[in-house]
Amino acid sequence: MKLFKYIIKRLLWGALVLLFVSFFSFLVIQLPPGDFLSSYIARLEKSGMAVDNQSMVALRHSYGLDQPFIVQYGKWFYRFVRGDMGVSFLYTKKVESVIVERLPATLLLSFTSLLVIYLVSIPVGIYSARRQYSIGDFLASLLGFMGMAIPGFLLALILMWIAYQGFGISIGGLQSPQFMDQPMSMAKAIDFMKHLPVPIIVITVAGTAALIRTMRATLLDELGKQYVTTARAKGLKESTLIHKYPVRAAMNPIISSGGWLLPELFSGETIAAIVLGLPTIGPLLYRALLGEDMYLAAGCIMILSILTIIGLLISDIVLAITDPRIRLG
Amino acid sequence: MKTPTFFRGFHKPKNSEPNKFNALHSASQWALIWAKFKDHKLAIVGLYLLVFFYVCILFAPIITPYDAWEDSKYIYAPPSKIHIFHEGKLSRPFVYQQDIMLNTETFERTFKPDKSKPYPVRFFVKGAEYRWLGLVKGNIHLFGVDPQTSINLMGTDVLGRDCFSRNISGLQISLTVGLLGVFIAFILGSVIGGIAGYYGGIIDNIVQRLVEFISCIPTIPMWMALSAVIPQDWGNLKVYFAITVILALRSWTGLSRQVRSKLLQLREEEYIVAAKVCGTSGWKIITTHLLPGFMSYLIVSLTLEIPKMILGETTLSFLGLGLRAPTVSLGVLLQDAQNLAAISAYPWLLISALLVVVAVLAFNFVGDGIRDAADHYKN
Amino acid sequence: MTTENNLLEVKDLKVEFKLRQGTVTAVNGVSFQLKKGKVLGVVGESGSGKSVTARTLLRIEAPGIITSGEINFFSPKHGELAIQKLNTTGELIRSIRWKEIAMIFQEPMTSFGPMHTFGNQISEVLILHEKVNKADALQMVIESLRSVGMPRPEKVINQYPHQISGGQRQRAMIAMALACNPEMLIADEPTTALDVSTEAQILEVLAERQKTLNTAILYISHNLGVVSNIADEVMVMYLGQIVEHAPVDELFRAPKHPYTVALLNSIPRIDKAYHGQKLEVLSGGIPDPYNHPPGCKFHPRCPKVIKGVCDKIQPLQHAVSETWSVACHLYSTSINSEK
Repeated sequence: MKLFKYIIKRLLWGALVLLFVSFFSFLVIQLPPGDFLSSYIARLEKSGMAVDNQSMVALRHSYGLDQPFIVQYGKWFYRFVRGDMGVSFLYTKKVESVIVERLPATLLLSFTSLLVIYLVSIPVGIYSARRQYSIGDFLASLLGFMGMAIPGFLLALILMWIAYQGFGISIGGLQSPQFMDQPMSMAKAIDFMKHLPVPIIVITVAGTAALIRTMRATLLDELGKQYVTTARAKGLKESTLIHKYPVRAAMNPIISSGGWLLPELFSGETIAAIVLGLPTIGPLLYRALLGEDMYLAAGCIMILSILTIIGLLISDIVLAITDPRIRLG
Repeated sequence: MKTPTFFRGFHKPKNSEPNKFNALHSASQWALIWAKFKDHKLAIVGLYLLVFFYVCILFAPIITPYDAWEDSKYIYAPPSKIHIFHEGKLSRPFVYQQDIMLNTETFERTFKPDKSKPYPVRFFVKGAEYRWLGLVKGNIHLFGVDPQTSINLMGTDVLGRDCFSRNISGLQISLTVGLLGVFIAFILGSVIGGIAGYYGGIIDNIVQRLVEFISCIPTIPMWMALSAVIPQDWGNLKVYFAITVILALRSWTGLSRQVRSKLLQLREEEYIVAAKVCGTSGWKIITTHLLPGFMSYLIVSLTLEIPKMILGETTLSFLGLGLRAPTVSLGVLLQDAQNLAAISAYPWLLISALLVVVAVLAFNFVGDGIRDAADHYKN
Repeated sequence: MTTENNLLEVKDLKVEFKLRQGTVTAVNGVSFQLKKGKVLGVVGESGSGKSVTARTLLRIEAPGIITSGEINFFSPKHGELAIQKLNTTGELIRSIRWKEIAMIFQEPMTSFGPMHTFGNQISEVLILHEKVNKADALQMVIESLRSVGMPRPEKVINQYPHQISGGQRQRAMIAMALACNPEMLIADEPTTALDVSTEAQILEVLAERQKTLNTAILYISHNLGVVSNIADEVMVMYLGQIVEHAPVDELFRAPKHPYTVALLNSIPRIDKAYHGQKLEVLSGGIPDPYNHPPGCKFHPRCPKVIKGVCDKIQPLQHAVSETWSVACHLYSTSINSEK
């Protein structure tokens, strides 16, 4: 019952965050001087198209641009909730269809990256904490420092260069051009797998480094606690007791920080995708911002934030299920 | 741990013979942290590096031999080699004049040293005019060569500009963006976090939610969106400040969270309660009891926040959304290294990236060192 | 002293901690015996080495290192065992832990893991050492909890540590410690973190179970008053050494070592009229752990210090009677003259 209440509370929280994020996104649309329609018209005129006054007024009215800010926001949000995110001028398509095209790749990359981060950082973190100040621990810290210090775009460039120089593969996008329009086949899958490592490394490096540090620090903290001594005094095997008690307790901050990894993950992904030319939402946002395609930009920010919020809610619920102190109050 | 009252007498450090142990106990918090910090070798290396960097950027126009914006005929020249043997004889450090050969078919430039005449490296030479710190006019540079030739320690770029001079100027912008940004974040974070932590209740709740909301928007996309709306017609200085504020808009959340939780925790500490019971004023409690309690934590997170901002600025500028030419920052410089062709043909363009990495590492080492030292003090 | 019926013999035990700032000798030549079914109290300030001594008996002294001495344990199952020689993670010491020597810790808040139920954590020792199945183990846990006066034990086995009070947690700890009916129990300040009335209840439970099960207890406390309630003998420790070892009643009646005297005098007493005078407190603090004073370690704080003797020569244990020994120069001359 308490768990149920907790979940409801978190869902309400999620809705509230969504409202805030939507407001921020709308602000981004509004901030550039002049409304987007004027710039749209300017763009049309520049390309030599005639714009008749009547349709302009009609457009202006349908987007509610003649109304106060808050009404405009309300209309935009209402439409957004119903799945209408406006029109992208760059792609001359509906924003939602542009985004949906890129959603699978985005989700696939993020999910795989999250998995990789956990699979690497938890064992390495446990190792580093149990063998504090060993050579392995030192190497892990060094890699962690490097991971935090090398900007993502640089890492992407370097890996691209290495892949190009060393293996003769050009790493751009997620598949080679010759497979672009072909149906799924074994060869296409292998080609795809070849393209995956570089983006995954670029996306996961910073998060993995951070999570290793968190895992190491938390576990070191837990290892010093009384209950570990109790378990040892009980005659349990060292490996058994460490996995049953301190590792279990150290998992909690890891689970809860898992949700907060997502914003960082999408950050990293955006950079990697721009440099490596991946078909995800990040480059879309980049292009939209450079081209002042504000509905598309707002749509991208909203979708990335919604994905983050969903991730956070999932990690909250998982945490509530695993930690009796939250589950039972 | 509770100590029964009758046992307290044992803990009074009233030993008449001051020994090492007691000296350690009476040392100030900062002396203790410093003593611990010195043990952290990487942190000391980081500290030296940072001092070196900041001294360099303070005297940037003097250290650099050329104006960072001055074109030259040496386009994409590789880093100059400094020789000490001329015709087999040891002499003072010198460079050779580079003859430019243009391959008329491929339009590739190659440089060939003219080994007939050495140009010695001279110190404190007259060169381009500058205003040091915007105030003092001067034209003396730390080193240089005869104007007939040129010395480019880190090569030159597409317009023949000296990359060494440009990198030092870039460092000047990149490293101060971090400092200024952290300063803004510090003010925002400690004021907002302080208010939340001190008043608690509804105000605290609102601030907490706000912080969470902001943290939900992925950092880079948020920075990108905000910097994209900086008007194109803004001047260099205005853009510089705008970028700094944008970077700080994200960073303050973490700081305010820390300030708040630390304040809430300290509020319940017995020595604070004791001070309150004794009738100590609110201001005095904050300055003499609360601040020292979490100053070290704050400094740790500030030091660790600076490299994030440097990386943020570099990334934004690299993507063309941050600082814009003619402003020179490490990120702006890296725009030239955006594609593989450029990197493989002119690898010295990546020196800017190396500087970013080294500066960020140095800050992280120092931050780590302070954290360890402060943690140890806590125990 | 006779050696028959001895369960544990500790001889000249030394435990050091090698830290970056220097070496700390936490236990410095401690010798004592514990007889079957008896309660030995260990009293001293924090840093006197009493907890380290206790942990060393179970070989969970790490990062401390035993540099010399012997710990002989007379195990009913394995016979005489030289504990100090065992591998700290080996099978033999693990079969001794909890099955034959169990331990209760000071902090009831943190001595249970936060993520598992009491049922899980207590039944664990039964499954491990008694080779019973889970269902039987849980039944035994309920019995064991009931025996220490835990209300509604059927419910408690499904509860987590954060759900019950400190006193109840310490009851659960005692139930867990005695679940396998060990020969010996180490109680490391089990009541220090509790309030006075709970402390009395816990002591009562412990004393009652000790009598019923005839368990030998090494009872560690910084509070002489608490120890006097439960112990047969008391040893007083100062900076890793035993300064006095005596039957509890005799020690209270006429303490010999100036440190013991000071400890006793610092306890406020209702039966004493204080008329404006202050409670006596010991001057000075515990010296630098890296640099112990030469000679008798207590001499810088001792009111009866003999210049030229106490600060130069380390006092040996002198037998005051068959069951009473004290490490102080004040008594060495008197004993010598009697002989």
